[in-house]
Amino acid sequence: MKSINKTLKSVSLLGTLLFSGSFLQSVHAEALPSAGLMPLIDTHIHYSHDAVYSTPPKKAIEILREAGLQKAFVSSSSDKGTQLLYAEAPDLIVPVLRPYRKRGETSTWLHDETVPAMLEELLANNTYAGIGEFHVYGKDANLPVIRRTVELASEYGIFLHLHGDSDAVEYVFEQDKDARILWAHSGFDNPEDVAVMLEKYPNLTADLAFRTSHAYRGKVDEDWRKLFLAYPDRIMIGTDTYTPERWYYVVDHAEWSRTWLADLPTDVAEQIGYKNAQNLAAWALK
Amino acid sequence: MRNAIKLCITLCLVFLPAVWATPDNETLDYDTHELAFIRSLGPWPPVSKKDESNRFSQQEDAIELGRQLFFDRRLSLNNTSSCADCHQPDLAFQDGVALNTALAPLHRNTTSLLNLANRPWYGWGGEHDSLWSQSIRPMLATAEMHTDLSALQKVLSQDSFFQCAFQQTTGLNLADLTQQDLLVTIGKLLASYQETIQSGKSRFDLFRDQLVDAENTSPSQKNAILTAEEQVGLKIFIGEGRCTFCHSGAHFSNGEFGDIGVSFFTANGIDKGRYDGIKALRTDPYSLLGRYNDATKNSNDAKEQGNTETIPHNALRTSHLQLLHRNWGEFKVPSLRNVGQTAPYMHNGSISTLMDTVDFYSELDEERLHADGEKILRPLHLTPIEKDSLQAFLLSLSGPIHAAQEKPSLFSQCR
Amino acid sequence: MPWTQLSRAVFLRAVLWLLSLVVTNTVMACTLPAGSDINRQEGEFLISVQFDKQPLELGALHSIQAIICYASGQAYTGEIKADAIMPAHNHGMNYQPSFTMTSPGHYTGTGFVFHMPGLWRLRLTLQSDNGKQLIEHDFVL
Repeated sequence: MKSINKTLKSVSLLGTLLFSGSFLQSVHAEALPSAGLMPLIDTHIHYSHDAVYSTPPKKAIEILREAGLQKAFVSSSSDKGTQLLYAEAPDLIVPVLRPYRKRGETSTWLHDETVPAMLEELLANNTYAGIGEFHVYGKDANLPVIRRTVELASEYGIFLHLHGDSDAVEYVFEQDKDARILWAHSGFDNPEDVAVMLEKYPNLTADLAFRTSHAYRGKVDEDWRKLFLAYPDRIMIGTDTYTPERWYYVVDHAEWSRTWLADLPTDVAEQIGYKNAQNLAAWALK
Repeated sequence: MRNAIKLCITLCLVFLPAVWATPDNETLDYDTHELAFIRSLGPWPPVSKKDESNRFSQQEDAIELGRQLFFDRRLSLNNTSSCADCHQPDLAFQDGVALNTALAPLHRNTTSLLNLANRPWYGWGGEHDSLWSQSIRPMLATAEMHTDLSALQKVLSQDSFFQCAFQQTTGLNLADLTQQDLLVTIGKLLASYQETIQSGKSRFDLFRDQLVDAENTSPSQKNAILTAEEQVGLKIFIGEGRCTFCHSGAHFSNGEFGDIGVSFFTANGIDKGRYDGIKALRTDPYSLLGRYNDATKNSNDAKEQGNTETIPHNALRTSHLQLLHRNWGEFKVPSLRNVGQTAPYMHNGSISTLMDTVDFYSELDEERLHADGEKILRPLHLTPIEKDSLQAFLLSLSGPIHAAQEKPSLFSQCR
Repeated sequence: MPWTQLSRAVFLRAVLWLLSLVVTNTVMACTLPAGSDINRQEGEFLISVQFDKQPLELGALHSIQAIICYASGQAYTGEIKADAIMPAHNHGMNYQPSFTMTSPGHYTGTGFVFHMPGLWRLRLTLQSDNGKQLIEHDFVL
């Protein structure tokens, strides 16, 4: 079954690539700063049904390009939003499959036994780099819906974008030690605790969406700096467009990110700014 | 627990008509937690305090000259409007419309000017940290008064009465001022007048005073100033409604900013609210961190606050501001004093009536809010009776409005 | 040297010695006052923290006075990082507090605005040769 799925996925991916241009090439391509700005990859974008209405795909893509993004990891409630953006700009969008049919399912989806079938169907028909962003805390990570989601990520060789506490992350790794997890918001944990998790789980990466404590007026906080320098290949940036209006924050957020990234050694800044995300996308879409 | 409270409220309300039928209202029972919250919503009015950033604050002739300027259309380009045209005294010093379009379409609701003295932030995005710098803003805004400072200086200098009154009040010669100094001085005079625009004791304040007095003496259960319905609303306000999370203190506002899920799209884009407010503050030449702060010289006060740098003590709040992701789309928590007279509501005037506002909170769209941990805001799912009670309580927050009256005798020697 | 001159010299030396002892101890010894809002030992540190007023005022700017000593009696002269969070809501203040050392071991911090009622957690972080020390203090507003 796994091999069939993988084959199907490969065929599907091949088809996508043939029709949508050299996606992989663009994933691997060396980023070239446009207009003197460091390219960025935003790993935490949602394009949900109401955002589609208020900011149509062309405008949404315009915003992402205005922010100087090289890529944007997009997951949406429903997935239709992601597909609309991917169709509009396959060179820019890294599709991630959100297990929500609409916004408002953050605490109910993991009890909805119809979710795995929906995921299976979408995975079979489309290209995704990951499953998420989904919300799960503590022992709920052992519920059947989550277990199946973890299995599907493994079958397709894609990552899990998990919004939850460190317990949930640990339970998922117990289920599949080879899982790749992008830890949304770095679990809203402090840098020392994030470091413990990154040390313990080599397949764990973390995004900084909706976090501000790592930088104040363009200067990187010393504790966070230690984390960034210790794990420069494991951290990524993200905006989190959780309401339609926040789409317009992508540009401000990119500007803000470039400010504090400039306070890091250039190679570390580039890793956090886009190279780590580039590698994750390349791994998932291999 | 919640159901029990609802049942209790419902049972209370079943018997309320009998209570209302009698001339005396009974004081409902309040536990110590509730009493503490009620106490924290006063006393009112607050102690009058001079704004140290404005040397004209509480100065009698400055208040009168500021009052005259407030009603003076010469402050605007082509004499089109005065401050009072949008902040109308008969409408609790606001304009009663969702978005004012008199001069050009605006994207923010005109706020009431009640009780603005000594607040930390001004404007829906908190773009200003003093009342005088906020008073400058509409003069500089092209969509509002769009003041031509050069023309204004000329016309005011040619007005011998005004020139004399200005000299008497400020010690400055109008014609000699730089345009920036003129602007700041007018802003400070306008602020001096606006500080006098206050609401007096509301029925809630009298009720609170009564309750606090009863705590100190023997409790009286009769003749409560608020009706039972209003008191039920009060209990929702300080209890299940958790309104005091933000609408706290004597002003019924914590002075800070929040995102309650109201859309912040505008006709042409987006209103970034507090995010742009903080960015504007950081570059504003008229902020308390700038050279026009009259408290700058009080270095002893600064040292007492542990401020060994050159930041004036009244600018410490501004200098310690953080720019956070959550500020994007946050708007100022408005005071609820006289809220029954300040419709429409929200930063964009998108909610027409007070009952619609209660409905908004009752059916709040949680998905528009980013919460990690216990949610601050959640839909209240109020029953119709509870909604009526909450509205009744909110209406009890209205007090008589006062503002400095005309005092022509102050400038008699200029006539 | 006549006896009177000698005794005067000895007396003056003794006074100077005593004075220097007092001065040295005043500068070097680090002791905590009694009755502060926070007064305790955390790891190698003795900490005293006093808010500018009590009860704390919701939404108002507050400052704090902190005295920080090593348990050995030496004054702490390093950096203090501070913030305050509401653990239940997982949010902090809209302000970034700052500290200034007024004399060895004595600090004034400002930029504290607690804008909501409920449980707040004040967090001070000190840095010594032995590593970082986090001091947390919960209080209800």
